[in-house]
Amino acid sequence: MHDNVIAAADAPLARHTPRAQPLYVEAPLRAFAVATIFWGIAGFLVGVYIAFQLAFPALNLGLEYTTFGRLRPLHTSAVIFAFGGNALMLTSLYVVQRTCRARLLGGDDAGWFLFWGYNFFIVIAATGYLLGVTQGKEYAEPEWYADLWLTFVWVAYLVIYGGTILRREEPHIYVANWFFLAFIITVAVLHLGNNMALPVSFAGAKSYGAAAGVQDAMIQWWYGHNAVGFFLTSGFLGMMYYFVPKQAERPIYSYRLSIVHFWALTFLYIWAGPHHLHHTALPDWAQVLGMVFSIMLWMPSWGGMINGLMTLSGAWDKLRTDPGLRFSVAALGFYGIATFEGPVMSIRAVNSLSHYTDWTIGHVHSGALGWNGFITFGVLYWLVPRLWGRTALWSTKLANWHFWIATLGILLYITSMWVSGIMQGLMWRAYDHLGFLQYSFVETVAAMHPYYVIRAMGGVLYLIGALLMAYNLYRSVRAPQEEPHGILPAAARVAA
Amino acid sequence: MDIHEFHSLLTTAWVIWFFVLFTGIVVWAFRPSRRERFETARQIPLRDTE
Repeated sequence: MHDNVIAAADAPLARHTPRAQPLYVEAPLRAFAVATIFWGIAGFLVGVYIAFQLAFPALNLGLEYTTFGRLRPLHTSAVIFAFGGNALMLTSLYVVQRTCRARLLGGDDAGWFLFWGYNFFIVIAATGYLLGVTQGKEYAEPEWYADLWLTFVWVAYLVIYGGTILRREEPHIYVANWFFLAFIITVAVLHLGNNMALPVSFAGAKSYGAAAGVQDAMIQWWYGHNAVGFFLTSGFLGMMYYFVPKQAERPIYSYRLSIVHFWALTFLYIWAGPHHLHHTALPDWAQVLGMVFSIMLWMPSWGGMINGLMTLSGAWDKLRTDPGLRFSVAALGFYGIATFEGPVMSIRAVNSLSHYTDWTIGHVHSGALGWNGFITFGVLYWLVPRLWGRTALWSTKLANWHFWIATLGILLYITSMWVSGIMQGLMWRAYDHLGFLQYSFVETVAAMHPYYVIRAMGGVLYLIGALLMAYNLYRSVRAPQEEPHGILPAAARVAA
Repeated sequence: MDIHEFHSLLTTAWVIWFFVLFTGIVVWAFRPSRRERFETARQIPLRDTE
């Protein structure tokens, strides 16, 4: 361990005397950062609103545009594809340039095309949901015209990203780029596979999927679970592999572990989808296959968590002073919790209790709020001041408030959903002494009311935290500039 | 051999192929001679000036 620390301090100097740094593309990245924050707050706000709708149905307002059924895909797409997607593009384009020491292929124009192209997709998809345009496939709701446009943007993303790797000056492709590349390629394959559909007319939004019945369900969950695996896991692990070492000022704990867990994750994730279809018309062998692969996934998932957490060895004190790093480390903790809970829930016996209940919603949110949200906040606190040529946050104290408010929010969310979900599952399967179901469905809904309120309050706290972050980052980039652009504390220390 | 038998042979071969491939990756990653290369690779994020 001691050797590593010394190597960390000496290696940059020994191997790289100052060399001309390529002119990195940054302006579109600033736009991605703003979009990440904007869509994050919008998505959290819609989430809070629909959480209150579940507790107080009057909030559906009696309008078709504001029903839970239309707002729910708006929430999921806003947080996953808009908040998460912009964060992934921001970080992948930032990381690929720096770890390859190469300017982005296509320069600023390419970055701006990706920014406007991707965000245009989000706007046409989101407005469609409100108007009732949907394929009815979870996380793949956009209709054919939006799907075609996204395909075009995504292929451009692959070309720009891959092209930047090809023109790299650094001989080795750093591990963060593998994760980003796995994310880009696999999402392209998933998107094409799950959106095989025939439009009814050229002028109309409606289309019909090529597959039907159980095949359609299997394709949908092959897509759905791998969206979790490659969008929300591989992509965000790419972030982790660059920004945690940056924040901790330590190299990643084990490069070997990163290789082994990358390939294990990539080999295993693609088979886990059938666990979404336990006790359905899907053949039993496929259900068991999905369960077994989901359980095996536990190990590579924890490989990533351990690699991230152990990077801090010798630097744990930074957690007291750096709220950004604290977000990243808490994110790894939530990643560990969610990737342990997931395999447990994929066991068919457990799933027969948990499936279709709020337990699933709680599980998804411990991953989404805890892992994806927190790692993104950690990155934003580090990256946003630097993208605007600043050195420090406007207020560390406010960032601390964000951390604790948001953490409390997540805890309220997941604990209320555990209780409500398990209660719901038990009520559904309860029989009386004559063998009749003991509870009617509406009784289970009424029993969940208090937990729905607690969950919504958790969401409110999480939203408040994000607003504090937005204000803090706004003040940070508006603060008077003290040092010339590009010279930052970490760099100064290396050069000294 | 009809197409169904060939298909089941292929699926079995595919499992074995993936297993061999993954074992190969693990062996490659843990070869002592890679140690120094990986040590250099770890430092990549800390080398740039930001």
